Amino acid sequence: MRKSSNLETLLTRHDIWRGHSRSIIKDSLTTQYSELDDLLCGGWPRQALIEANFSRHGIGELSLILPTLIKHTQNEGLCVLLDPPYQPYAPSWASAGIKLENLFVIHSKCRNEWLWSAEHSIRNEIMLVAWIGQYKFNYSNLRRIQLAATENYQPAFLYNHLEHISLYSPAALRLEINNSKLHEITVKVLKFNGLNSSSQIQLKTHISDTKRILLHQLPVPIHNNHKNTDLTFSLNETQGYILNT
Amino acid sequence: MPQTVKKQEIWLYLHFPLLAIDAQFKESKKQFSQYPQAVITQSQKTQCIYCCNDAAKQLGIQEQMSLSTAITLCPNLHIKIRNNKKERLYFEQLTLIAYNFSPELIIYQNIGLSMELSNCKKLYGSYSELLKQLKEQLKEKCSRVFTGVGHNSLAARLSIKNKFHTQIPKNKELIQQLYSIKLNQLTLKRSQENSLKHLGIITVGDFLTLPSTSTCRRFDNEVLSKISLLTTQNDLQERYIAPKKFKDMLENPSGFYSKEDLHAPMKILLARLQKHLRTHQVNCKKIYWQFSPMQGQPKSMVIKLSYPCYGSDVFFTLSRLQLEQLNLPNSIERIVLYSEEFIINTNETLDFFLTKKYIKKIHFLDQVTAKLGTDAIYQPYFQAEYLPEKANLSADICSPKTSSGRHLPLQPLWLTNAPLRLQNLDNQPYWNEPLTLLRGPERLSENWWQGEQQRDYYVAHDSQGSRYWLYWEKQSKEWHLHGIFA
Repeated sequence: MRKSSNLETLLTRHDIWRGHSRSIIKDSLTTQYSELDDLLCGGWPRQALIEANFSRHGIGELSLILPTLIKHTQNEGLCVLLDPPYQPYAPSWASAGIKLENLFVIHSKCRNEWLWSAEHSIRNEIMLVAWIGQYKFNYSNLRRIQLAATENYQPAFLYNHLEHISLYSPAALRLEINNSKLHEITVKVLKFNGLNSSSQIQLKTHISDTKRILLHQLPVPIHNNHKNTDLTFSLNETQGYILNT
Repeated sequence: MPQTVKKQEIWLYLHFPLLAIDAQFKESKKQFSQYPQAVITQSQKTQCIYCCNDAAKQLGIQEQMSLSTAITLCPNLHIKIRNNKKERLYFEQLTLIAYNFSPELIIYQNIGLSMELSNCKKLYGSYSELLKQLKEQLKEKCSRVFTGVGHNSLAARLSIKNKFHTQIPKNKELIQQLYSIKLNQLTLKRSQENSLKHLGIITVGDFLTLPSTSTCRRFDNEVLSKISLLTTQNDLQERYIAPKKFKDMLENPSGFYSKEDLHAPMKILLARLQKHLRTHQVNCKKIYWQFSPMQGQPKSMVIKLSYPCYGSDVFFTLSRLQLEQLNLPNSIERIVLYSEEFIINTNETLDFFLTKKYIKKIHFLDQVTAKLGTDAIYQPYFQAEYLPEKANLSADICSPKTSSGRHLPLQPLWLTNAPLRLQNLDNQPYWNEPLTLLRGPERLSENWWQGEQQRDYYVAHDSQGSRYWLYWEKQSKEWHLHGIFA
């Protein structure tokens, strides 16, 4: 009797999972994408390290977590961008809805500083979005971050280039992000406790539109001092030349 | 009309007979107090004993004895030359201990001090409890303290006993004590002293039994004013004003050999700072550390806080983090803690309004700054400028900025550190591969009426779906990559 109750207690631990059990994760944070929420059985798992492996910068890899960040910062939660690959363009982040007062950027000078910043941010209940960049981390390094994440109520996001992806990772959720076509990314689950890997979905990452004026309707020809300039536009987008007014 | 009854003041005089010894041997006191110790001074051509401890006295060493005689009596005598600066600093620390108990202090020649106790009796419940706590705190710093009690500071000083009072004598006893003070203790003129002696007036009590009319006629103002100082409560002597800065140090002649070794003395110094801040009801935003090796230049570090506080644990966490980044010599002999930027304590009200989240945020930011430096962390913000590189700014976390959102036309989340010049192959922008324009242009120019610099921004993509923000510069006729849509 006692043994079975012990087992039940053990099975209720959030870090214990049973294979083939596909159920809604009790403690998850909506991704704001219904397809992704379905794929992840409810959303981003809280208290977890989430590894997002992307093929290239600029395919829409950040748009995956942007709604989460917006909601978090709007609710006065702090967010740290650790070693972002480029400088965040503040007007765009603000325009997207991020509360800049709650957003901080940390640049580490060495591997140890990166690890300290990541762990320290997580342990201070901050939503961490980190880019591995040039550093190489072994399993135990990342395991430390994952352990810290289990003590935080927020998920921690780790962006890594697909070229540098390691075979083993302690992250609770590992995703692969590729672009399938323009304005669309494929999100593939590489590892997720309780879920068959290799499930994947397509997500639209369309850039929001602005007022458009067709090229032939422009009051003055653009680049009129380069009359011979033959700019190449993709055919299916040629209707979309815009002049922001 | 009801008469107001004036509360009777109680003054306690503290005398530190071994101050010179304590100041010199304080760090090693616990280890070597049983060994004979002496502080010497240089008088004319000879060195003589200025102060010595009980162990030395037991061997026959006395104050004013020449050093050579003292060494003959005790070859193992621990000797140090008197250091006035150290003594002063040490006395300041003792004064601060007393100041913790009573804000009304009178300093006497940097060797003793008087403190008024009647106003703080209520705080401790009784005089005996107050004296007990005072003794305990002084015991940690002083080998010996003698006390005197009186209704004013002079009376307390002149009625000093070779012990530490554990209770305040009753009023009757205090008056008896006052009466028994010898007049020669008042440092009167020789002629006056002789005159009083001739008349058989030895004590204050003898003097006060005389009719006042006759004493006024017979003795000059000096005697009368000194007697009146002893008997009245209107003590007009200058009160101690607590210094506006804090400086304290710890020394270890055998040296601290690792950063972990430094933690304990740092904690001690920070605890003293905390006490100082609480006593003066102030907070502090900045502290300075100095680590001095036996030889060579000292190393310093500054700890800054985003908001003033007095808690030693906050300062210690930040100090420890910053210490990890500091290159120290092999051995540190002296640690100095210094602070002078105090802010009047409004902490209670401030804490009440500050949310837990906010306090956590500033502690986190302070810790990151202490560990990684101020340039490692920033908060993005923007200003109303047309050119993206001018609009995009990074705020120091010590002076955070607020920027309200605005609707922007299509602009990316990432900006390259500087615009990257792209190749222009067959009139097509080229970055690793030809880029295809998706949307544009959006014309941005700065002060278009002054210069020719105009940029036409476009959204472009490469064959693998990455989207970029490019501009065509009218003046240079070149393509530049300025941002990445992520």
